[in-house]
Amino acid sequence: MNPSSAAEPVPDLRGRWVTLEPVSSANLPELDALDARRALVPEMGGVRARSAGGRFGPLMLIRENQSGAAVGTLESDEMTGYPGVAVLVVFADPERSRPGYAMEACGLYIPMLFQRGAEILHFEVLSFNRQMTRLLGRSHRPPDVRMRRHAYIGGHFWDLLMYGFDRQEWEAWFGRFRLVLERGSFAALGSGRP
Amino acid sequence: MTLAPAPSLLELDGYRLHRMANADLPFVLELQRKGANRLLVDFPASAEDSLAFLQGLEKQPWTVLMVAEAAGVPIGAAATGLTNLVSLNTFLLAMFVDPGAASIPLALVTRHLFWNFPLERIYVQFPLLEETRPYGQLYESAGFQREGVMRKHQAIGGQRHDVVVLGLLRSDFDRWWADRDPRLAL
Repeated sequence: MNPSSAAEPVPDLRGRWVTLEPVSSANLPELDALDARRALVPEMGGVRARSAGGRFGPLMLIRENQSGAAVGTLESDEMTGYPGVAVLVVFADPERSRPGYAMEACGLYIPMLFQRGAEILHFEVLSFNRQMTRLLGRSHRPPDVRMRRHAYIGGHFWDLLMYGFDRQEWEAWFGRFRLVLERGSFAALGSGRP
Repeated sequence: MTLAPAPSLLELDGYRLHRMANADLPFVLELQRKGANRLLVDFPASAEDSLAFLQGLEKQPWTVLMVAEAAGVPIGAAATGLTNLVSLNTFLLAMFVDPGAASIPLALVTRHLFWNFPLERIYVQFPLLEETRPYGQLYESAGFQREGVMRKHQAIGGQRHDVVVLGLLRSDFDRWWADRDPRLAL
């Protein structure tokens, strides 16, 4: 099967809890508001430049189905110096999102990256991001690389953890969560909220 | 790069570092085609474009393009790129005629960088192949620590290969050379 063209428009991607929506002039104010909140979330590493367009997938809003509120963003681009490697950046607004939303959003977004030509999925986590390191640790996925003291965030140097998956590895890893997502159980993803 | 004669940046035990000049270009281009070096540094096809690539590197902040010599003969070249002025780290591009005999020249390169710039960390990444094994040994012999492997990140000849990541912190450098060769101390 040929990969989809990266130039093809991406439709909304609807899940049980959230819908992914390409960023356009219609939702740009919501993106700006999310970016402003993201800049204050230490785990996101502060303000960073965003490239114009993702090689494998566009910048998308994560919208909560129940309320219609924009609760996060997903974006990707090709890793500098490594053709075929898609770097994923996920932001779930801690004030608006809920456990499980980001995971479901990833489950909608990442297959599209592989479909559109990415061969490897790459993401990076700051070592103090306990939520992510616990989630990955519980699923027995240690980081592939720990770049020591690589990121200066909030007055300290922190380690940067790197994870990489090919399509098969991603599907196997994500499969552990698929049942939880289909059942709609927040508690299984680390929250006591109903 | 300039046409001016290249003064020494550092010298130790017959090894010498000098700032790369135009006259070094033929050596640098030939060096890149030698052994595993083409897997470490990806030059454009033409000499003109390669010169432009090197000049582009030189314009980046905190960058020095260097050539290493042993007894007056060039044996290696190094530069930095992707320097992060907030996180104070830089990516090192280095290649040698014989990486098995380049510990001291590499130490001089890293010392020069730590001495001149407020860097916290220097790192390298290269595909993990039999051909590049001497480079892994070289970096470890100069105090770099292996920080992991980015799986299948590098496509070479239609196949994906793992990429090893090694890092050298300023504190690593201090500790490593304090015992082995205090002359390199910062």
